[in-house]
Amino acid sequence: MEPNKKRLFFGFEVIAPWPEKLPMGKLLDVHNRHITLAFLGTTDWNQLSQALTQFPIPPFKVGLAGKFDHCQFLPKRHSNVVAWHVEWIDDVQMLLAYQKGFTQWLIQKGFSPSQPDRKWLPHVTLCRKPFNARLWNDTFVSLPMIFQNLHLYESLGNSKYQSIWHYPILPPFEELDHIADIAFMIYGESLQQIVTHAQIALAFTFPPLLNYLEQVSELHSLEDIVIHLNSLISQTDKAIGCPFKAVSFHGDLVKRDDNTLQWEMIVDV
Amino acid sequence: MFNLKQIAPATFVLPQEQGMKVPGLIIGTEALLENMEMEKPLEQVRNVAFLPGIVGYSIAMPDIHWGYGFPIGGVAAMDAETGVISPGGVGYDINCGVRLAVVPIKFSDLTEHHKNSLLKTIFKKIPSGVGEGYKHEKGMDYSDYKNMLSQGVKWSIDQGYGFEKDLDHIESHGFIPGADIGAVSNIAQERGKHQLGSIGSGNHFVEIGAISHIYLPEIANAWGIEEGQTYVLIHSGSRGFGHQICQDTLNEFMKLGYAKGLPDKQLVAAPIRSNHGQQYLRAMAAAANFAFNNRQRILHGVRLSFQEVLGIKPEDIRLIYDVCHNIAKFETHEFEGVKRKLCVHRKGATRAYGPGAAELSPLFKVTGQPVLVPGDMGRASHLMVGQGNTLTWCSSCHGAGRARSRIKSSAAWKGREPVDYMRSQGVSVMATSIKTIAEEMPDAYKDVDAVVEACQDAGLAKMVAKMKPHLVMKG
Repeated sequence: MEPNKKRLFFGFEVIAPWPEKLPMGKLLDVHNRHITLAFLGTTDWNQLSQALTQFPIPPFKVGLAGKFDHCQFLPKRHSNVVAWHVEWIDDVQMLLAYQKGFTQWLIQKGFSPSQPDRKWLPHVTLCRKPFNARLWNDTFVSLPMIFQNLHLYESLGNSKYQSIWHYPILPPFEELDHIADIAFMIYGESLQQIVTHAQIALAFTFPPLLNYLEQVSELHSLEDIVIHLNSLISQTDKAIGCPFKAVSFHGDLVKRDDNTLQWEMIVDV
Repeated sequence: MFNLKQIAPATFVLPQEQGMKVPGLIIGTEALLENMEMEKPLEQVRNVAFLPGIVGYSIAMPDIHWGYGFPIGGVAAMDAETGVISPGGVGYDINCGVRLAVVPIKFSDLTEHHKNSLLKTIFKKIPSGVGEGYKHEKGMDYSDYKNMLSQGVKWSIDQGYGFEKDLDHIESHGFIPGADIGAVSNIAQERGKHQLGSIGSGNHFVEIGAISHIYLPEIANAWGIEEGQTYVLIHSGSRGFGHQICQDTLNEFMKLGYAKGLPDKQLVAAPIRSNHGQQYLRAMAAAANFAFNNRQRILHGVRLSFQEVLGIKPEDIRLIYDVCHNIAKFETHEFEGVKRKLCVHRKGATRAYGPGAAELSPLFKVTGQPVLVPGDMGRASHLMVGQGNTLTWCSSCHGAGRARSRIKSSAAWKGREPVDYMRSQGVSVMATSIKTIAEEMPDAYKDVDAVVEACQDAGLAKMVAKMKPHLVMKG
């Protein structure tokens, strides 16, 4: 390959409570797991790095949350990868519009993103062939996921990627160190996102909680959010048990310099 | 920042600042205080001192750590007429507590086969872990709840879960009066329906081991405790039933604006004499009685397991004592020469009555009440005797206190390493989740010896016996 040519793609960095053990296969390293936004293939890096100065900034400052809802084998005929499909829990309209606009921008700049007219399929590739499809299907369990930071990845071969450029996007939450309980810093751009990201943070610790998530319509304050989260914990405990006692009324919603919101959530366990 | 002043051995005063109605009182040795992350817990001690009607001091035990509103290891007494009741001063797990029983066999006489069988049998008989309970049984209905709340632990004893003689060996004889099922939400009743007699998750456990050292032979003799003897220690509370009661009350108190003017909204508190305060006290009493019955039934499962594996009769396994360490109780204490009725909040703290306390049964009226202090699952737990210390409203510590977060503990161990490590230390552990074991490893806790020594130095309780765990069942 010519020195200025690289195999490139844009993708979001994915975080999930990945199982310690997955079925046999050529597994992607945890740090390489991503959602592809646009696949470019072999590309002139000099040309792209120039274009990146006018890169279309995402309209969202905080990454989105979702869940892996089923196992997929891609492409459908003669599959060579195992992927987990993402069902979004956050409102995804802005992301879908951005993906379309981003693809158009690449085309305008003279690049050739792969399958630009096809419906975008958000998924995370976990493994390349050879694999046992039945085993992957049988052992699949729905898990929460979030994404942060948009990267330009270079494919190094052998399912190894390295980020050569990135645009920062806040994660929906970060786990914090807390002596007695468990704690998270929750980020969002609205009360709705704060409650969604708080639920997902809880589901990272206890994935079965995903089955009890409910849409919340009336949110006026942090107290409303805490009451909703505690109702989720109660309903889950009643149905299957739950490791959380409650989310505390600790802390305040803080507006950050970039106008996003953050809240330190402490969970009594 | 906090300018602590020592006033007695292992006793420090946190000076009263603007807004504080009383000073703080910190029990702990200099060494303990230096090695703790003290800023947040001490700020909580300070915040508690803002509560209306607080009397004496806002108190912290040597096992203090950051909690919900109140620090864990916090004690605060409110005037029963003018004070407030704070659910955060009781905790989510209402009447979480510990009970100790002794078995008439030396631990060293148990074979490896006995030990393995015991652990497996107990694990099978007593549900533990997230959501575990008696799912296939009928569970508690409304009339069961009513009867349990009106009788306390006697309700379970009358159904064959233990013996009448157990009653004298339970704090408040296993009954908190004033409970009303009408004050408890349907969801709380649903959550508790199948959970009676189960351990739960987190730091709750059943521990079996050997009495490893006697410090006070005269007290140990009076209580029938001998070196080498097998003991059983149980730690659990009111499960989802109690958690929901706390949550329902906090939601209501927040909506009613009871947090207004407090330095931390988690301290939200209603006047004891208000309808809302009384409603919580009735519900809290319900959860407290649930927890007494819970521990009674867990001990029953342990007694049956010893019978099955070793042929030891259940009645020969003697309950030494059962203490609450998350509760608010009405007690009469002398303050500045006057006897006053107080509502004593103990959150992660144990009542430690000395000899002569009116509530105690005849044996403990002579000796003082047993104070049970679980440590971590590797090093030790302690049995102490209360000294009736007036500065702390007759309170003492409740455990070792966490020193390391769950994330850090979990990250330090992989796969089955925690189980293998504990086995190498002579402790067999069973749990529904290995992650729980990793979170509860000994290095996640302070050294319990230092905590009990501080309580002894401060005159809260005296060390009677040390216990070494060998078989542990975690949630």
